Amino acid sequence: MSAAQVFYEDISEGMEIPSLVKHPTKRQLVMWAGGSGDFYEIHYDKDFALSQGLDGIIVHGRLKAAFMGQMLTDWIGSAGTLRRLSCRYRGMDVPDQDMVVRGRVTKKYVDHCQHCVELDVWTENPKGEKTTPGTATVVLPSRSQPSPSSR
Amino acid sequence: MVKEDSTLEGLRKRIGTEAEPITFEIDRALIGSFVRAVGDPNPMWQDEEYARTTGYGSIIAPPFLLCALMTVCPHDSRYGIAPLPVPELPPPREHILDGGEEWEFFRPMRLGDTISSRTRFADVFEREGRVGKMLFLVYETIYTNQHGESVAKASYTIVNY
Repeated sequence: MSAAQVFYEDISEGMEIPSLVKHPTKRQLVMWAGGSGDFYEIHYDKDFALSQGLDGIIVHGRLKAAFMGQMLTDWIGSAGTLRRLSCRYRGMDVPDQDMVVRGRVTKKYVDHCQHCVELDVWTENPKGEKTTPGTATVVLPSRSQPSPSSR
Repeated sequence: MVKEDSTLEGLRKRIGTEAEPITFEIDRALIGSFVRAVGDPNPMWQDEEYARTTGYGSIIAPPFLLCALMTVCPHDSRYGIAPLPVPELPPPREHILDGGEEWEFFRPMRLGDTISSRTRFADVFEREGRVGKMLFLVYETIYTNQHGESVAKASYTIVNY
């Protein structure tokens, strides 16, 4: 969010956006449980997780979705708007290791004077596997029309 | 097989059933506990002085706050803030797979806003998958502010077989 404002004209299809490295700790999972009300024990109780056939506790899927939201809003800045985010919780992630959140532009287009950008977004584990593939749509300001009509 | 069909029919009859609405206020405490849990220092969510310099003119909640204010937790209705719309009809089959989740954001949620969310059982259908017939259950949540404006929509699909 400290970077300069990104504009629609700066974007090209296929480009990767700045990635975000997260390192969710067990403590963070407990904080998320408290904040979200998701007290499913597989996210903080190792004995319970093992009893469910897991190798240990796992990161909340929706926390990973929020990480993708953080990456996108960091990138689009205060003049951009997050319009849509979707994902699938395909692979499980374990805490206390790096998780890299990435995105790649798939399409840019103007719709009703809004400068829209579509992206593939995902989280990646240390093996490079995409554990949470998703897509997103953002609206960016244009240099020719700096105040987006989106709000 | 007949039993499964009747289950599907039973579920179909419940399409449109809504859960009790839940209401929450966008205040500093809610935003603060959320951004601390995510680890997101973006000043747009917390710094009034910075927020005044943006096009919003004041603090807004991160749109993805709604990722935490869960629509439903199909694994077990004891988990999550929002109740299941049809708690007496949990996914009838043994296995649950994630079918994807989507959020659409229509308007910013501002500090002081009161947001109401309504979750409904939006759809159920059956498809042939590699492990046989699979049920797809779709839950949809609409978020509305105190002015009656839609601020967001979330949908969650689970696959049950």
